[in-house]
Amino acid sequence: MSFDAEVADPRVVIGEGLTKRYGDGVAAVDALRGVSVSFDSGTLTAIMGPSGSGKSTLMHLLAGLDTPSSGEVWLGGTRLGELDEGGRTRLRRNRVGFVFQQFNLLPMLTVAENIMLPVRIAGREIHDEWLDWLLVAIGLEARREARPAELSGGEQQRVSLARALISRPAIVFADEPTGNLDSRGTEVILTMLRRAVDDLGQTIAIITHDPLAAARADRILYLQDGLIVQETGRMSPGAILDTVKTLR
Amino acid sequence: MTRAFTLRALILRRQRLAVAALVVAFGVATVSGVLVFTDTTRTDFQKLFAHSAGRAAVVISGRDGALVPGAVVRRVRRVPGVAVAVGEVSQSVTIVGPSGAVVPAARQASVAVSALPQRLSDVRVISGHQPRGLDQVAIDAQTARLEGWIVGSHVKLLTGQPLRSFRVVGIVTRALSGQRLVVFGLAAEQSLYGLGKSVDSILVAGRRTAAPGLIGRIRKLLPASVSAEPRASQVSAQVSQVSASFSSLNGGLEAFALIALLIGGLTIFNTFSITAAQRGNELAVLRALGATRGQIVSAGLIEGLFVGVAGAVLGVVLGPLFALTVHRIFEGTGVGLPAGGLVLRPSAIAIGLLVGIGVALVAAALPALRATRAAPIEALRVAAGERPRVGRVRLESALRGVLALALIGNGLLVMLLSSGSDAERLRRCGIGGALVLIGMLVAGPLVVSGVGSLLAHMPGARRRALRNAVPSLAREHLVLNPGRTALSGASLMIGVALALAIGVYVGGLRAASSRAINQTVLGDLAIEGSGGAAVPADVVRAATAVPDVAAILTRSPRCRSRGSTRPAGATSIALSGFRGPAHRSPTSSQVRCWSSQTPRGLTGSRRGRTSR
Repeated sequence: MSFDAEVADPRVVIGEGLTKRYGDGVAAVDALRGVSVSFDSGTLTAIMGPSGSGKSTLMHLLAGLDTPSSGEVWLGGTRLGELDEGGRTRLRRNRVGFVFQQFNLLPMLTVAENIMLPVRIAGREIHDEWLDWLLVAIGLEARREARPAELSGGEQQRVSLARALISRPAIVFADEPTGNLDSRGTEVILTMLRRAVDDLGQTIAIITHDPLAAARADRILYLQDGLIVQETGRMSPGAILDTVKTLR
Repeated sequence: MTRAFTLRALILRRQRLAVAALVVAFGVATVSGVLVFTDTTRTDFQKLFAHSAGRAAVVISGRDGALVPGAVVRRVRRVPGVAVAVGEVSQSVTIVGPSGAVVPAARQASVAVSALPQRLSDVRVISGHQPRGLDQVAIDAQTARLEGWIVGSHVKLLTGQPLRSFRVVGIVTRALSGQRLVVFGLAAEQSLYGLGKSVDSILVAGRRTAAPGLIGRIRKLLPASVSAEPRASQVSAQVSQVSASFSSLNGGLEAFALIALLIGGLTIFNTFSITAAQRGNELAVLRALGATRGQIVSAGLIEGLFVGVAGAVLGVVLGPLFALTVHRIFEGTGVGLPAGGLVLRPSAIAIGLLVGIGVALVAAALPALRATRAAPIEALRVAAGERPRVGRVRLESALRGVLALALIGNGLLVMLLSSGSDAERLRRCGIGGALVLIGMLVAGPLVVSGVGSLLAHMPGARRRALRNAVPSLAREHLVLNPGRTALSGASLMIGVALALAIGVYVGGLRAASSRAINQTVLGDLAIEGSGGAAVPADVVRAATAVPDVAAILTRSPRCRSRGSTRPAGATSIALSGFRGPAHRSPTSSQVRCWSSQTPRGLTGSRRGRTSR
């Protein structure tokens, strides 16, 4: 991956003046009402906020899954507004990784095949050493031929993380990655997300309700009613909880 | 990559593949089965008539079913170039089994024919010999096997005479028509049926060198009531005559094929759109991970191709079985169809394959296209839980309603106001029916939504919903995707309609034949042999003696036999005690032939209600 552009500007993803309105007339809902945000290379950002605050909408806009009503998104130096649907799709498969709350692994593919899926969709070469490294890193090298149904939730989410990392994207968006996990699974996946940032220099944004998850982040953004209402640096889970309480 | 992925997805989702392929197979089997059946029936009829005149070069028969005087046979034999000329008699017969019960007719009424020399006959002697003398008969092998008769057995037969016993001296092959066959010597049959020296037809074989001009020389000798035709032209005339009378059968079958195609297509489409909905999550993930619309659609197409090819091949294999079943059904209703092997034309197979694969491809591509039309985020949202749409729904409903009403209204008008020939009316009925059907498909989602809200607003619905969540959950599910619910309902509706249509059609065929009798037989009471068996002559005589019977009309398979003074065996008898109401005058040639011989009181009026 090329760092030419990013060396000068550490911001890999930039959103400026983002608004999103669903529906029109009296039924219109403003999910985002003017959000400007950027993500520096090699950082872990947590986006917090109550349900309906616009967290998911923000992620969808930044990832090119949806288009803003107004405002601009730059992803790895490319302005998304210039791209059509196909262009956004190609950009997404090369520059964005996703970790979903529901894991969303394909049931008929093995662990290794699921991890390789984005690269295969893109029709690119697969580097076996990189795949092997990721399998070791998520601790599932012995289960590379297993199917998702044979894995625990935590294991599935680790596969999903490896799938997000395989194409060395500019940014990984993790939408409630611990929402369906028990405490041990949560701990393991958070550690792995942190290591991806520290060891690989990966840029990651997690959307979460969980103060424990947010406490691993370098920076925490708080959303409410479609606006960023607060931004803090690294905080303890207790302090995060207090901040959330003051906002409500 | 998509290719490998699709293949894996297919292989690992065997169940889904199997269900979809079975659906395709069902549709294809119906379509190709109906085509095979139509081809087979047509070919069988052609073969039947080609063989019915044996191997004669010229067939001499009476005009309008009149008998051919015996003297004509002797005269024709003397014509230069004639090698063989043999009179032939063919009458209906009732075979009585050893138990005393009538042996039911196979396909058509059992027939008694006079023995023919081998070179003119398609009936072959398997064992024993041809019958000679008054008390000898040969019987067809299937009937003999059924009743356990062998050469030397005695069989009881109702001919033009009261029931009497004959000795079986030969076992013969059954004629291609599949009727039960009893062979008499010519003289024996003439005397049994009171025909004197007359025959039904004369079969002539010529010497090879004298073929041209032979028929002309024969015609010069014939009285006005008798005509001679080359076998070939006679066969083609019969084929075209029967083709005309069976055109409604073929039309009906083609309509079935179309309906089958429609059901097959709808079911296949529905199956694919349901699997596409189930796959919504997978497709959304793939879209999020950067799969393009093209990749998703081509994955769908490859899946469709697999399912289509697998299903279509299976369907084409099953098609002939379906054709056999249809054949059985028609046989079971007593509609006489000739026997013969199934005819597998390449066209029936090709059409089946094309239809199956084509419909599967379209059915697979459309839901995939629909899945990719939404932005990937929509897909993810749908995957998380389907939401009823809002917004333009009301406008869409209104348009849908107007379109549906227009289609149904026009369809009904086309159907009800159609006039002209039968074929034209049938065609218009088909078009109108298709319009109504499309209209109903368009209206389907509206009906589903309507029923859904009706259920919701039923008195006490809310109270019950609080107590028991299941009904309201079911209702919610029903209206979640009204289009899909409607489509499932539509497939079911068409399936039921098809089953009904077959019933009505078969019943209609049966009713048509009995109506034909009603229109031609004009008495108050009809007496018929069971299963096409003949009514013995003594029954006719006994009926004549009943005090209140004013007139009596017998109907034989060939009108000419009524020319005799002694009543011969008949397939039905009409009795009349009063003059029925004047009605449509019968037009078919058969009816004319009836009328010429019909006693007063039975002509020109339809059979009235039976008075009790």
